[in-house]
Amino acid sequence: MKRLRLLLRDRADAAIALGLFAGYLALLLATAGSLGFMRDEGFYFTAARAYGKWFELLWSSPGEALSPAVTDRYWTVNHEHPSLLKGLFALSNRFLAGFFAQPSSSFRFPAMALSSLAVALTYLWGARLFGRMAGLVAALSFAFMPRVFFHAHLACFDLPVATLWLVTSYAYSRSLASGRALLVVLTGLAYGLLLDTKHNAWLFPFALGLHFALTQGWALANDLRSGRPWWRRLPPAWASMLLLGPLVLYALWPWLWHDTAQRLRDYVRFHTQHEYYNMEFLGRTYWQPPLPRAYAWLMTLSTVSLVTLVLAAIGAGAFLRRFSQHQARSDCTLWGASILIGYAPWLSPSTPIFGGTKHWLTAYPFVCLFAGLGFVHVCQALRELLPRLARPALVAGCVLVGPAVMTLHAHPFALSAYTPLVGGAPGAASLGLNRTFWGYTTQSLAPFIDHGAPTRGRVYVHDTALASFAMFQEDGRLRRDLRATLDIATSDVALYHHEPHMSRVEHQIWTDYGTLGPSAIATFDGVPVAWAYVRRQAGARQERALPAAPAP
Amino acid sequence: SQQAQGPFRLRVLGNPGFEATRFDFVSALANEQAVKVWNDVAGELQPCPLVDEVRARTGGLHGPVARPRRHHACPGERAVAVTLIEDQDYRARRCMLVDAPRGGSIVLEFQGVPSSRKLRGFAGFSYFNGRDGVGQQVELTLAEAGRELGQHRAEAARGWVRFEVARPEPSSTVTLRVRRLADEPGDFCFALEAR
Repeated sequence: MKRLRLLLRDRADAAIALGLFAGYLALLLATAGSLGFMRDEGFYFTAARAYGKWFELLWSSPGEALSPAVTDRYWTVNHEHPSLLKGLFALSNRFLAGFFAQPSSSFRFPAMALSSLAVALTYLWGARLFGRMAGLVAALSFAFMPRVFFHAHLACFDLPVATLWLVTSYAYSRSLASGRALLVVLTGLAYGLLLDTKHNAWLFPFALGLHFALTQGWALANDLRSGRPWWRRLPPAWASMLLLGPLVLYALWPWLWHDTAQRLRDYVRFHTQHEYYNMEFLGRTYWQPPLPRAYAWLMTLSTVSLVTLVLAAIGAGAFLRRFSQHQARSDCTLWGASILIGYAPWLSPSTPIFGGTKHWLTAYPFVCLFAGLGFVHVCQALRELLPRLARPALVAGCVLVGPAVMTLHAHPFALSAYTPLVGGAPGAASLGLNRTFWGYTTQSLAPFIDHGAPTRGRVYVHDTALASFAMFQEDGRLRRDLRATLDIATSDVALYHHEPHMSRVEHQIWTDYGTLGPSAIATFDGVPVAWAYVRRQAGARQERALPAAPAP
Repeated sequence: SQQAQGPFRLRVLGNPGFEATRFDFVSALANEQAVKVWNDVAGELQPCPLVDEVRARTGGLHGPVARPRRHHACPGERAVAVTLIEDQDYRARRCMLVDAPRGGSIVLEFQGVPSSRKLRGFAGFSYFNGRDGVGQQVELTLAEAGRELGQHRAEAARGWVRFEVARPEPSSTVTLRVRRLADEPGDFCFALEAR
């Protein structure tokens, strides 16, 4: 009977997880059309197309495809990042393009699917430990973080690496609990996929090390003192990760098949010596160390809903109070270790900050899992204090409605969106927090550009990558006769995506176009984010009345 | 004083040390008012005539600041013109851009400058490209009626810096010499007023 109950419970949880996966994926697909393309997406579209050609060659002429010169010719594109996601973008575009109205969705689909998997797995992990409602609160708190929802759409690596960190952590946790060989192997394989996603994976072993130290460190020390076989305490999954992880990385990344040692060194060097891009923080543009240590913490406070953070603090606090006897001691310690290690690099003033909050997205599922635990404790407290209000569904609704509204309101301007703690977008702009980056807000100016640019007009794209602009056109979001240019002086329409250090671009537009006044401004909650200038002597199209500035 | 204007609050501030600008050199160059420009390499003076090109020259984010279509053209595709650079806070500064030659100078001669107690100026480079502080330096020498009034040395990493020189015996002709000291040209730009 107990086994039947467990089986039915597991199937119900699986069904709920599947529902969360499908629902979130559907929401991402439904809202992708209003979200423009990041600079980095343009680079990854290009890489995916190159890898796609290699896959076609591999199918038609494997001997030729596998030769070093040919492999390198295709996989040299964007070789500073691993292959997994770009390979998936390529395969999705090749086999699934016909299912989507816009070509871009076929590239973005794998990342969306992985992001949705993170939501589902957050539910499963939370539900497994603390009940179904806790799992739902955890999952939906994660799903409705504005920046998570934003990154979940993108053909990039930031949410996928968070997903794979979560997947690997879950597999690791289950392998510790059950000792089953299959789970040990799966952990190793998952870690290989994590390694092949993004270099955040290099931090993962530190999270496991911290977890081990906190849960087994004392016992290990006792073993060492007494001469007992301490090595039996080492998790078998470590060996699996050590062996299988690099093998999977190597197998799935053709760029590493030749000149492996040098190329690995180059990969590591690229990221450990990465150029510092500009980022505004509290009114100051940072472009070299020392970078502000408060960055990660303040940006988290200002972009994650306060109710989620408070719930997470309650959950983490409740766990720490009963650390040594807690029913889920190992799992919660792993959550805490992932959060700490996810944020740890920003204890150093040398760690870049140019990517905004995406740098520590790997920590967010675990923050939300603690939020789920916090939800349980809040419900328990309400049962004692206000029993009539202690209805889990009601409480869940109360803690989720704010994040959900915030997230949906922020779309597609999530990089400009901030929480009420800092006064929302207007308050953040006044405080001098980054208003936008990555050049995707061209989407919001698209109707104006289409209407205002002359036939075969040249559009100065500013921070939008050329390949991203091309995708706008391929999707039908921008006229196909328009020509993208990086030269203001030859342009008919000039776009400007505001960051303080970018102002020199606008100054050049002012000087060349002979005007200080943009013709259209894209705003979010009253904050100008991107705007467009039209050269006065443009062609006949400009004689028509221009539409009003596009709504946010 | 303060007053409300719709959703805005208007504050009117007085300047207790106000000094009227008697002559704005930037506007004079922009308006093509009695200014001559020469290129000087090893004492050989070549005029830099006003030209109207088909297009301005712009460099985008990482390139040079805008050289307007209409500018003084010096040998070697170098320009003297009024343009905008950004200061160390990335604010726009309207100024006279001078592309000095390597090992030489650009001379700007302004005529009809009214008398005043001093010349007050600001000088710098486009900060975004110059903030790493390597290799951009220029020396600006101010003179009138053959007498040197003073010098100011600009370095890119210092941003937009103020300077002043007195005019003990004002005449109507002020000469400004911009000499490049470094290999890298940079976007040197300066503003000057007679006060």
